[in-house]
Amino acid sequence: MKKFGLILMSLMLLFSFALAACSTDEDGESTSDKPADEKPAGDETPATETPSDEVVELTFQNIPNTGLDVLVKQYESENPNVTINYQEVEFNDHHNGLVTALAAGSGIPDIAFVEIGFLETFKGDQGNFTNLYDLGAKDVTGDYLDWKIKQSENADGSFLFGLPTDIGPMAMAYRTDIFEAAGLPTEPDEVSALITNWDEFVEVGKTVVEKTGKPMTDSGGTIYDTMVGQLTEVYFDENNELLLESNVGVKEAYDRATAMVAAGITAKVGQWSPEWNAGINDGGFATLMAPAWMMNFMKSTAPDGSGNWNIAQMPVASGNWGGSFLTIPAASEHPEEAYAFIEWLLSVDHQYEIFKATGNFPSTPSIYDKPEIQDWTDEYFQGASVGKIYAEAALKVVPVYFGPDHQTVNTAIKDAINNVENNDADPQAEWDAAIERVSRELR
Amino acid sequence: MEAHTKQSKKPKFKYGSQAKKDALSGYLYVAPFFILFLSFGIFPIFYNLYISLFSWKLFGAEPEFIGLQNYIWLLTDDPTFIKSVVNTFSIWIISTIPQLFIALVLAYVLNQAFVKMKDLFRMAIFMPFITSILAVTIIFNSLFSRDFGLINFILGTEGLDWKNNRFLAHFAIATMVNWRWIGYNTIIYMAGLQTIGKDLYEAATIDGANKVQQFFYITIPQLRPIILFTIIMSSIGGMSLFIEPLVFLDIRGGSANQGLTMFLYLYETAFGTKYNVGYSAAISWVMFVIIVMFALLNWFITTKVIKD
Repeated sequence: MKKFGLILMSLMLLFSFALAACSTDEDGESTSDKPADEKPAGDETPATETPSDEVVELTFQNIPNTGLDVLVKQYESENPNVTINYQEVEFNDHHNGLVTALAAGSGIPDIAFVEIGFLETFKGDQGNFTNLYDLGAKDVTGDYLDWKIKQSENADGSFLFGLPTDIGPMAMAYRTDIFEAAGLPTEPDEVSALITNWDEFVEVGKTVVEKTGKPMTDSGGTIYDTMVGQLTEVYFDENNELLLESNVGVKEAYDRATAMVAAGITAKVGQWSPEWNAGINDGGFATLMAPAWMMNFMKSTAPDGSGNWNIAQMPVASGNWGGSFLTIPAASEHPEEAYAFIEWLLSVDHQYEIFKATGNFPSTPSIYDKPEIQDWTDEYFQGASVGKIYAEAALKVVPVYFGPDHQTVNTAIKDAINNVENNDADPQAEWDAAIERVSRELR
Repeated sequence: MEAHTKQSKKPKFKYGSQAKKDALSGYLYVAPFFILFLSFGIFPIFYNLYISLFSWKLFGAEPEFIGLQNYIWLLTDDPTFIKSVVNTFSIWIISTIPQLFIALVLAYVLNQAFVKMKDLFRMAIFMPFITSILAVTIIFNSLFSRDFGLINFILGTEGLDWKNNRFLAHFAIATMVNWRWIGYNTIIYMAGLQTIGKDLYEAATIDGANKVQQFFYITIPQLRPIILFTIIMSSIGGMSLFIEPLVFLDIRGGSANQGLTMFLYLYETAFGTKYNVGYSAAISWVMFVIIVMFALLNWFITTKVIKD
């Protein structure tokens, strides 16, 4: 009986290894040979030969509240040969689902929404996506902001992962009530002139803390992200070599952020925490680095803050937080149709319509001069001309190369800042620990 | 066996006797389970072992065979993993020990003759267990909030940071675990108490033993197998603690990994920002060994300590 068990066990082991070996072979093939394998099966031929009568079904996986869903129906009615299976999945679930679908090679949509942070990760696996330049995207890239297209390209600019949806140009929201109590100017132009760089930001912050007892901003981590977003190079060069220790800009941003923590001008509240929401609502801190889409978030989560916030330009330059792309995974059987759809969906005119409907900031600079954007004011922000401010900010953003492992490194450094902020850790010791951790996690 | 093979070698194979047909149909009936078990149970386990021998990222480079390197890194050069093991045990100790003791006492009290409306109490005490774990965690998340938390308000400990202090974070997570599992264990103990004969208690009462003495000298020894069961179950459950720290802190168990458990580390490595499935598979195997060893140790200690 014992022997039998042993034989059974080893058979199972062999069996599982054999299966495992098979499936890796499949994996290896799937990235390169899949389209070739599938063509003989005859799935694609009818669509390309007789595009008018054959109905093509495209699966489009999006996240909620992008404003794209309304246009989908319009496209379907204008193009009877295309049916769009439109799905909305929550932000995190959508991206995690896409990661696993791409890795497993099944359940992949024809068109996938991808946020910039995840796009950087996906760039490590170019084979999983269709190069939009092969489908004619060169003709439309001129419509979009240069830095936004650069975000979507690979290192040498020969491969385009996706077409841009909205963007998140950043400006500085500030509480006029706190600024007034601290004896500081409150008009946007005056505030922009008062705080032009991060040293001035700290000086003003010290005044605010001294006069009102309120901290200047939410957390050191937010300021660090903002400062790093203004660099031209962050953790990796275009060959994906780690620059962490040689890039003085990163260390400088780290030192500044931890110095702000030490100076006591941060509120020590993490983004999206209940304390953070409450702080926006009732003035827990004087400034907030706010991308364009943050305005809608503030209005819905912090209604009491209405009339107390205003918006000025950010110190030094602008930055970009968030924004996304529509990509076509390589597994799609109808890349041409999918591309025709997203080109239509994200065209200048439609970006303009989406902006009017939802306030998502367009990635197409040619419409920034339109009166709807230039004259766009918001009562939540004391009637400030937010459209003008964000349009100006969007043009100031510099293109940055991040690299596929950006998130891993960034998490380690942000953790270090958070430990300095919340656990009184030593900044230098945390920096060294973060570098060690990065080297371990990238191996 | 030999008879079968000889028969099948015959050129004219006749469909077997009725007994053979019965046997065959029997195997066919049970086959679905074994096919499913092989493909979804056994195969993933060994495939996981296979993956753990590779440097395997979900994105980018092709998987590269590196032998036992993942295990070597994990055991000799990964302070984060050591931290996650310490956290897991720390949370287990401050949750399971009070949890089982409180459950035992509650079960004993609820089993007394003088308690009215037993069914109501039984149901009430079981309610937390059937509540959605995510809802529980979100509620506790706001209770333990630093600036607006009810706990800080009641205790008068203003600004006590339950999330960033390592011990306090463990305590908060253990509280969630306890809230959820005390009722479950109570029900199990109550079922066990039903099996203890009344005559034992009657004899003890005649001998002059009070309720507390009866609890320690009759109830606990008689419940030994049940206690053993709950200890093993909570060892396994506690070692694979996951959702509570995930929702209370974040996917990394907080910025200083103050609440990172083994299971959370496994998940973070595979689906956080790193997508490193090879290393994650190695973590799962080390975790498996730790859980088995720990369950055995608990079983050993419990059988030695509780003797009748």
